[in-house]
Amino acid sequence: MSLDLTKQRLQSAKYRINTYIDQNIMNWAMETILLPARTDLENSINNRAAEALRLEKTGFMKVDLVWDLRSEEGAPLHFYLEYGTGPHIIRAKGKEHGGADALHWTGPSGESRFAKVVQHPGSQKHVGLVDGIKEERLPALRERIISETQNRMEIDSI
Amino acid sequence: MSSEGGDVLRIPIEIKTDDLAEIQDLLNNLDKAESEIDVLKPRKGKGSGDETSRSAFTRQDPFDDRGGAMGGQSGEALPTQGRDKKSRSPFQRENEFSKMRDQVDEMGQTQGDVVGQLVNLGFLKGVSGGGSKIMKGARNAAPLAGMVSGGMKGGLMGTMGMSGIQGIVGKAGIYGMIAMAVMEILKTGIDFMFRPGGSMDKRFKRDMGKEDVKMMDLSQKSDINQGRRIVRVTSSSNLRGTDSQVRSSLDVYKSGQRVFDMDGTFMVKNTGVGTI
Repeated sequence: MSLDLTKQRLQSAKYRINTYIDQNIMNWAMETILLPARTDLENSINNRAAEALRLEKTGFMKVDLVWDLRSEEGAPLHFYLEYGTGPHIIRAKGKEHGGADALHWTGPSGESRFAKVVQHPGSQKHVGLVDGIKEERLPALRERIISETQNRMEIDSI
Repeated sequence: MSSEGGDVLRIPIEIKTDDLAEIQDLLNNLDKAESEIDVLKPRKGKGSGDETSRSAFTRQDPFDDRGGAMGGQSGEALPTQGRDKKSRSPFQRENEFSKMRDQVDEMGQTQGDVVGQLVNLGFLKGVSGGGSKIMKGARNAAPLAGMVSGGMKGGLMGTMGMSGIQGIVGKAGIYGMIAMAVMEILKTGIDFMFRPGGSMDKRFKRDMGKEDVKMMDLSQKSDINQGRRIVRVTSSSNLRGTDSQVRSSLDVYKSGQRVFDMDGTFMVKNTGVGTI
């Protein structure tokens, strides 16, 4: 009779493993992916960019890492930072639109520069968030899941 | 890695246990263990059973021959006797106690035969007073009786005479017969009680009910003891056999229903408030 009970436990083991992973994947993803990625963004860009990164549970054993960093006008800065931009023109807003009449930036030698319009040559890929997650953080999450699941199975006597 | 929804950067992270080699190995081991349980389970009816299994349940030989977990093993390369638990040697050394026990058994068997001969002797002598034909036939049937009567003829016949000797031996034989018959009855009764499976059989007897309790997982026991898992019995008529019989979750399991659900939670239908 105990053998039958053990068999029932074994039959449900895969389901219980998946359920355990699903119940904890948010915590593990937060510790192994979200928090390190936020630290990187805070160091490389600023705190606002880091705060724009979050996790969303999208399904069974599925989570999405979402980055939604926008300018005041609602421009998707996360795309520009992640994938870079092509050459484009930048114009000063003007006081009539709530901005300044001239653009200002600091030149290579430290001097201030002003202009109404500039021809931006485009920026290269800056952050590399996607590659970083893919190459570094996902393996860490997988290792965490394996170790946590094995510990759980030992505690639970499978 | 993609951006769904148009304006946010979305990196999907999906975990599949099939992709995790270690988890997959663990699941494979679980499947293997599950199939081995099927082998270990006892089979109903008269079948040859699983010859390769070490399970005690499938063993066809008498259990006191060589039972236990090592039952069913054979072959010269393997130990032909059980493992000596007191030593690290895989082979059990010859047991002096077993040898002595066998000798005692042999002696008991021999003595039993002698007692039987004496009973026959008394019986024959008792009957000899009633008829010489029976006496003559009995001489041929009982070697010991023939020997005694022959000795009497050769040694005492010259002084007392054949008829006198037969009279004395015949009277003594009647009382002897009664005494021997009583002894025989007692011996038969004792043998009956000490027979294999008898009420006084002191040999090792397996009690599967107790063994089942011992095989319970310690964590399950601790769950029950500490109150994390409660086994309830119910007064529900659905689970109750008769008015005086209160049934438990064990009966639910015996009836073929699942006790654990797929989540591994202890699950019994219709458990209500009852005496624990």
